[in-house]
Amino acid sequence: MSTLTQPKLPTSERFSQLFGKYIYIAVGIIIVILLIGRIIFVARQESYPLSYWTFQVINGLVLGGVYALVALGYTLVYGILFMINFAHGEVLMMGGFAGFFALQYMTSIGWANGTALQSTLTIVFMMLAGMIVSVITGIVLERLAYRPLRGAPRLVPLISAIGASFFLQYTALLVFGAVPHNYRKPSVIDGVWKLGDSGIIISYTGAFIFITSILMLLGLFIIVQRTKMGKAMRAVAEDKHIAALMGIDVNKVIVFTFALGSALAGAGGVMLGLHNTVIRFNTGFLPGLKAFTAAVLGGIGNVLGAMIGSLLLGLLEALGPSALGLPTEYKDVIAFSVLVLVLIFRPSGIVGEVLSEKKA
Amino acid sequence: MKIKDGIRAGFIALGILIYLDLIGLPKTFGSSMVVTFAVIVFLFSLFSLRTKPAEAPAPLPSVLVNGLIIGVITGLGFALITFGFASLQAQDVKVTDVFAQISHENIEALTGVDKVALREGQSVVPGLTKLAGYFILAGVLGGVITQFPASKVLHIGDEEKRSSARYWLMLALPFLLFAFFLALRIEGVDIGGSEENSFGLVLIYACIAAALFAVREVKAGVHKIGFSALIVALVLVIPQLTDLKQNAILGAVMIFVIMGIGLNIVVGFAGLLDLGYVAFFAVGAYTYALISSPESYIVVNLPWFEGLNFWAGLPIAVLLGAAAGIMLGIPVLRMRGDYLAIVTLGFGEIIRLLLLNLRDYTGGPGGILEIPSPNLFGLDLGNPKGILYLGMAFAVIVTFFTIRLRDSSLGRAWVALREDEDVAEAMGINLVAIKLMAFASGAAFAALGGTLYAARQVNIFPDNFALDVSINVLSLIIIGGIGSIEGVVLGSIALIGLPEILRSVDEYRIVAFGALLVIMMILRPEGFLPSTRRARELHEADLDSPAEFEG
Repeated sequence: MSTLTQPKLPTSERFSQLFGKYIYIAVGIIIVILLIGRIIFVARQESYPLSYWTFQVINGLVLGGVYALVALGYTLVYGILFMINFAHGEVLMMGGFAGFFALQYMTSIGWANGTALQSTLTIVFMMLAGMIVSVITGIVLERLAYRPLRGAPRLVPLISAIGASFFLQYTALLVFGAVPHNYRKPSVIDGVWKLGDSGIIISYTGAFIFITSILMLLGLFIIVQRTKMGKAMRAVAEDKHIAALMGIDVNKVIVFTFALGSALAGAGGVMLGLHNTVIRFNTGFLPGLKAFTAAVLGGIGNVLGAMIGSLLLGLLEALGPSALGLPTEYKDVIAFSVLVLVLIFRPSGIVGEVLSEKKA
Repeated sequence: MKIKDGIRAGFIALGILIYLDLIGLPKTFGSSMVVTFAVIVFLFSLFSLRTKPAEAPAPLPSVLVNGLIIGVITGLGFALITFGFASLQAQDVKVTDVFAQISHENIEALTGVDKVALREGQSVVPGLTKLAGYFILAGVLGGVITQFPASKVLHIGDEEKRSSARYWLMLALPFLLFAFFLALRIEGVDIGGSEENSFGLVLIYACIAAALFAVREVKAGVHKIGFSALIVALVLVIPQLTDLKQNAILGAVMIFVIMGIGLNIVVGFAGLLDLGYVAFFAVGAYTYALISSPESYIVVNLPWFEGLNFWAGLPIAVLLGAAAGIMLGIPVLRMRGDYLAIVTLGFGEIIRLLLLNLRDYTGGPGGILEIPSPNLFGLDLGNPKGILYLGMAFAVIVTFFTIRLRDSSLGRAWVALREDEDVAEAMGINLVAIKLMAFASGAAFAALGGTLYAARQVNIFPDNFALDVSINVLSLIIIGGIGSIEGVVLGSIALIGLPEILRSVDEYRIVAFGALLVIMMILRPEGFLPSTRRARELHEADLDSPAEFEG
């Protein structure tokens, strides 16, 4: 199974023969030169104030933090099952809805905008609700859509995952309705810091999202690296059969992995709701795709890579359009172009090398 | 048959019913919902309590008890939940803020108590008692029915004995269905009432589907030639007999058949999962629109250029489609499986975003208008009937090319590629060339479909080229039967044609697709009408090694 996971040498060799050995490097250098040229050209023409750039950097870091939470779900599952959990974005969306309804309830009893403690508890409650619903969704998904297909040809679980993704998305549309649901921020994170006269603004929400996601990533890192379950996860990722021989309950580990990834996605869903202040049935789709891009960018199957890739993608997305002099609608185009370019020039990702070689 | 099984089945059934309630079926079905739900409980009870052929039949009391359990769990559980929703509404709590479909209509459909009566405090308990009673009755009835020998019919997949009577019936079935369709047109015969047109179209679908199955089974030789000729004649005559709306729907089905055949080359033959297939569809449609519509950027800005007609635009669109296929193919040459799927999906989205944002050239969200419709020797084909005939002609051409490609050495190279890339390469197959050929031919067919689509729609917008087109096409080849052309036709009818008629359930279409994809992958990954080779491959795993870590 694991031999199928990474693009292998023969094809690329043939490709290289056809197009010359250094074509990749040459094309890569040309692209980089063109990009730099464009950036210099744009920078000389129009200049945004420094505060605009800082604003975008902060925005990018916040987005990157959310992407990292979601990307880890992809990476963990991919590391163990070698399948792309296409429905992961929908797990995020379910968490976002749960967080929204939790917020509605807390608002109705007056806690969301009550004292600082009540407001903080509201956020904790929202996060918990989002994580619990996401975990349930993730586990049910694994049980019904993926487990019966373990060991089938690789196309089969992927198609099943696509089906599950659409099923969940349009179920949410039917059950919760097509109208966007508006998050009203709890009072404790509603506001901004102004740094002196520089015009630099940091919103409380952004700071909250960034710090929480870093903390959660640290927690995940500890779980994977330090606990017994984390050890079992790494063992299963290395080799399912041998892990089973060593007395590891493979099914349990897989369920735990899905639960862990889903919990992070649920938290990500709530944060995304707070960040965008709106949630809809298709809210999870694009972030899901972007998070996957981030996971690939960092090197899929690699936990640290997913974090770095996510922050990088968040920054690229926030800064890219302005730096290239394009309207902001092109940020999705930039994200997907990054995905395509990474897969062409460095399929193992930024830090994916060590791990991919082991798996290949 | 243990009590535990009955309880488990009961809760699963309850979960399904609650799901159907939440997505809003009662609102659509109205007062017939209670009976529909009871039928679902009955079927569920029947299927979960039936004895499998190898097992000894379960004793009547145990089956009855289990049926009763299923009925009680679903009945009481569902009644309780509805009671909860109804009492919330009676207190003016807005349930629809959370569950958009649990409105007054929902409660009325399930209990018979309308909005005003609910507010005035009329109890919903009698209605719910009736509902629970129905469910319990249905559960027990399902258990009873399993005791009859006739229920053995339900064991789908038993040894089938093909008698000669059955054989002839199968061959005759398409024509019988067609005769039924004709009978509907006789003055004074009225079956469907206002739904008569839809009913006729369903008969046409059934007729074509029956023909597809029969073509597989018919013996080679005279039988096959004669039967095929009759079917061709039948298909040619259908557009003359159907009305405008039916032809329009059939035309849409044909466009998806063309696209499905194209995607079938990429996914079914070469095994390259392409989720951005809509990109080529869009390239075809926009190319034709740009070089033909008097409103388009090119025609407006080139004073000497007055726009091409359909027949001149078609080859250009198809060639550009193929070129787009190669251009998108080159970067992804090294990718496999999942990576390929995601990257192509990204490409599809990039194309749509470009169409949306390059306002100067594509008109942005406003799209391109007034695309000329095709005509042939002065005959205007811009009406649904013309488009349908044109679509049929294109589908035949595309099918012909596909079959020739499949049986050529290129086709065999594709199969080798799908089976094992490394081994294929070791056998001396030029992977670069055959991958690009697969992308190019698939893309060319999609562009053909796109051109026809643009000519049919007259006005096109970026929203017509969203991801769900890719998903529709992929679903239809997978559900129809991957790798087979009959499967594509069957899939198009089932996934594109049927939802067009069942407008009232249209919003449930994608939910059903999603569920269907998952269920198909688990139960029958090769689809309904697969190519024999593909079916064998997908079941190889069952023979070689038991599924690992099943539990």
